[in-house]
Amino acid sequence: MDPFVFSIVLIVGLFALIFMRMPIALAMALAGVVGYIQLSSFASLKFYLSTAWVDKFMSYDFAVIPLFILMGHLATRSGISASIFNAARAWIGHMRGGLAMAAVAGCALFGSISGSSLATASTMTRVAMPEMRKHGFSGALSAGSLAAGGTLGILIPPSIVLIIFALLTEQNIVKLFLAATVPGILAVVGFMIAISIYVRLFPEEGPTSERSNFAERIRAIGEIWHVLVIFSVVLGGIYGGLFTPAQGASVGVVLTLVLGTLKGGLTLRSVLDSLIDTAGTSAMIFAIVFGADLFNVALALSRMPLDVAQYFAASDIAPMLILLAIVVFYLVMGCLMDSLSMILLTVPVFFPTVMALDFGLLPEQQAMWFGIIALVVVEMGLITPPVGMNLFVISAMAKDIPMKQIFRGTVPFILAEFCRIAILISFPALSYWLVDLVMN
Amino acid sequence: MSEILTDSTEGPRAPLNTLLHRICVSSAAVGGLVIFGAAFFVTFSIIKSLLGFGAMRGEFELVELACATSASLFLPLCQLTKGHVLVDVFTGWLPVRVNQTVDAVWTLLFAIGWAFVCWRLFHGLWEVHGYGDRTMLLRVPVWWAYVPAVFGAGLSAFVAVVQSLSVLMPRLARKVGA
Repeated sequence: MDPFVFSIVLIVGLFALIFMRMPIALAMALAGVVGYIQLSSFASLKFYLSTAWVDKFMSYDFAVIPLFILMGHLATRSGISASIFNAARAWIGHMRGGLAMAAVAGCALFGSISGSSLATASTMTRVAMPEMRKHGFSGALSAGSLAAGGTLGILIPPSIVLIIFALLTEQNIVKLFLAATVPGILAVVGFMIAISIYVRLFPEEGPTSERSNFAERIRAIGEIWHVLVIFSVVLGGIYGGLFTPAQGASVGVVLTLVLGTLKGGLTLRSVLDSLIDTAGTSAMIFAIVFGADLFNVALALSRMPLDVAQYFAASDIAPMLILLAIVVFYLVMGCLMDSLSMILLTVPVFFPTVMALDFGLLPEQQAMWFGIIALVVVEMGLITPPVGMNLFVISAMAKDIPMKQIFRGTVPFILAEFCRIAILISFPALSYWLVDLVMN
Repeated sequence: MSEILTDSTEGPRAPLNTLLHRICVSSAAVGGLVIFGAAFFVTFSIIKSLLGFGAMRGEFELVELACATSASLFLPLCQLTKGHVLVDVFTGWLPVRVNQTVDAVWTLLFAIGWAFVCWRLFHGLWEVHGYGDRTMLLRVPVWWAYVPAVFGAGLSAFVAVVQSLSVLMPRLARKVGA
């Protein structure tokens, strides 16, 4: 069979298996094994597998993943989310729909020490949801703002998916972290605007609450000084070139442990639990990366990604049209699959294609731009039905809110996200000017 | 990310399952401690070099070894708690029994996959051992990194076999105490 046709059969087969409940890591590995044997030989597969696992993960770059995951789990268990929410609330809680805005701001702050959306959504829901409901916020608005806020965990550095993207495309992790900052802030602003429009349309769903005085505001900030310390030391150190990402993550683990213990949030028990949580989250990621690697080796053997890239580069289809087609594909698939698997599956094909197109940008800028767009679009899948994981997390924690209401609550945020995607696509510079500013 | 269950504690566990649970959790905890240790080592090294005493020797290698070790030791727990992500949008309407059977078949396939990887890694271990390769600075034999990998893949394979047989052949599974 022609290798190109074979690679298409492989991809179709892979999706068929995935949609038949096969664990994604296994499906990718299986498709990879079949492709490897067909395009190379069983003997070379055997040889490859005798070192692949260790070769792949005996890696300084990959170590960043379990380290940041551990830091995030320690932060989650240290109970800092309550003080984060209180601080945000002291400053903006008195505005119309202010508690929902505080929830979003809290998520952003928590996302700056956690790289996971689910962790951000669940830990902020635990503290912010009861407060919002107590102050008469509707279930829809409470759940919607927390679900949307949770997606910030994935975009705001440290971001596990961004690290994976950087490793896949051999981009600089530090630059990608920086690149995600402006789009992250844009998301916070977009969500705030969405909330303030929503509560003006439906005033009964998001009432105002009491205003804090200046002393209370300062005190609330004082309660989260350790979060600010962790955040600025880790990311400041990484951006300032003082640490490598792995060093920054290591310092982050130690700082979170020490400050979390000093502030009384962490016990021996919760530290042990964080280790076990880290094992579960990391192993799932490592298994998917390993499966995707096998699959991508098979794809590379078929030369399909190169062929596709060359075809589109030579065709006279407008580059923007191709990019939009990719975005639509991500939006649809994002509703069905998790963001990490999506990135691992698609980037090896889409990235060379996008890089072969001419948008009038430097290659590095174009890579960051595409990475950010891909991340923002797949992350939207976290709040869209039917597989919006953030929605399930929140629904499981707030059983009194019907799923239908939760879905309704996400509508304003999905609209805000569409605006943001349009802005990010129209103005590529938003995704790289901070990098140019800081690094050059 | 779908289907992340931290623990599948439904009903009393059979003796084999209890044992497996203990082993997998211990393995994960050791892996976690390895990553934790690496974080402390790196931090210590940074502080030392900031104070002008120079960084610790082999920091880079230690982090690499820690990453490979923990990745391997984390695996079995993820298998045991069914932590591997899957898409259930298109099969949600099927009867529970059907989905359970499908899952068990995939788990059996997982077992075969891990067993294969384990066997290959064992070969890899022998080969690397034969070369006598050591890391540059710490002089750690590279085959050490293969030991947890063989263990992690092997234990994952065993866990997957037990899980899938307890659905596909419940009577046999009960006989062996699963």
